[in-house]
Amino acid sequence: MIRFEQVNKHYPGGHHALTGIDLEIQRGEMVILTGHSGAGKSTLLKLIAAIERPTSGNVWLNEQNISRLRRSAIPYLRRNIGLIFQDHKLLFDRNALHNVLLPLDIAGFSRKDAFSRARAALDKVGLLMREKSMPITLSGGEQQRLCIARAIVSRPPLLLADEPTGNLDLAYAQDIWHMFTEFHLSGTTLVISSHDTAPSGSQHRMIQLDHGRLAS
Amino acid sequence: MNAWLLHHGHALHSALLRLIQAPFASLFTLISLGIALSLPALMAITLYTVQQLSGTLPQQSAITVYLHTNASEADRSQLEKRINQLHHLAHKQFISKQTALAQLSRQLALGNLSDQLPTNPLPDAWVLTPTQLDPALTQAWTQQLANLPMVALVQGNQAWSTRLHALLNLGNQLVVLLGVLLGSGVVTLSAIVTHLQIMSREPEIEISRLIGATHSFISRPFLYFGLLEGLLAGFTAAAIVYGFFLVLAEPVAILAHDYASTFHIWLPAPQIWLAGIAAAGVLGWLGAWLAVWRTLVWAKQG
Repeated sequence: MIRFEQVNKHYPGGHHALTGIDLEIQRGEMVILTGHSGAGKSTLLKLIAAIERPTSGNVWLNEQNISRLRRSAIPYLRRNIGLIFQDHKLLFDRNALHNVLLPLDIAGFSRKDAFSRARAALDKVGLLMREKSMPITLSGGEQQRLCIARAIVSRPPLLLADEPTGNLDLAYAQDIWHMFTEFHLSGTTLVISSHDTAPSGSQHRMIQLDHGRLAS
Repeated sequence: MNAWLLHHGHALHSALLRLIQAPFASLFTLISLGIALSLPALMAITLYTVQQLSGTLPQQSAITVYLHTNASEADRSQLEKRINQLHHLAHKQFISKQTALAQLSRQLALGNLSDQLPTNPLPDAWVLTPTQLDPALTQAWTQQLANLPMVALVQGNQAWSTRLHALLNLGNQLVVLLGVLLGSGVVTLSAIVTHLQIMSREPEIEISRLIGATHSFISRPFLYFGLLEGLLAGFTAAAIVYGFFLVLAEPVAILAHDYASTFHIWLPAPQIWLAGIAAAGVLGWLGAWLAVWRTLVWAKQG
């Protein structure tokens, strides 16, 4: 599903975020990227979501070379990817339900269908009772669950999560990991960057990055 | 309903919300834009009204063609044929030498002059009125007719007509210049307001981009906002202009009555009001488009 071919990513100023990455992730896999801060985990996720382009090499997603993708085609690529951020990136002037509705509005779902899907996504993450709550009134764990609801609402085959439990205490973090395991079991491909250890019992692959190179 | 209509409905709804969410800011912007748009409209209507007042102007710019006193019936007929060939001729009036003498007698209260004079010294004459106040036209007529053998003299008040024509032209050009200047002001103000909107919604734009929003999806609400703002400013300007002339209508009517005139303020037809409001909408949209292009496209590429 995802293939990196000799991918290098250098930022202006000479910082080498990724060097010579060769990597393949199969459909339905759950991959956890680990490594110290600045190892290149987030950059790797950004390359998969076409938020960044590689300096050299190719990134393939579903047999499509996304490093050569036209700018206008990128939004359509991202509609098939659920993005989960450490800082949640929620809209604080909209309630929980309307935050989850945003990807469906973008994709052009009818209002009725969109509301039904958004409520189902909120239910899945345990926030249906708080659909009218503004994000500011939610706890950190709830905000992260809301971010996850927004990521899964359009039922994408691929979920990318960048340090999803980074700011959460252990109980909330385990809750989130449990959710990811459920998504994995339902056939979703997950690529997660994390400092934490995944819960035992989940069938996942660990990939360690060290100074922009694959360490394992 | 297809996705295209849903997206446009969503964008329009979003634009309306943005207008309503900041009612005072929206109101002040609309009043500023409305005043800017109303100024050239006020001037244009005033000018048109003055032109209407000079509805008699083409008559004032009429020329008189005098025949030789010894001109024959054949000469008169030949001249009439030639006059009928003139372009933009609104009205022609033949004044025979007998009629002219009778009029002169009446004006001077000298009784019947024809009894007192051995011969009628006055010539036959044609008074020709053009359809428009155009000194070049009456000049051309004068040149064409003055060379005819039966014509003694062609007379017209062309200097006066030229001056008035120049003044009206100047007024028209001022209206156009003022329109362009204040129209540019409306575009600029709309661009600034839209730019501020974009700045205040940067997080939403960034998140929308990350989860698959196209450039059209992001920019559409801002373009609708500009269009709505322009249309509402057009309505405001129309209300200002209408109110302005409504207040003036009665004093003008009283003044006109005192001068035994039927003069009244000219107000545009409904379709002209609508066209003006639509044009304001286009200006608002153009300003928004410039801001979107500058902030969301050019700045990202630059």
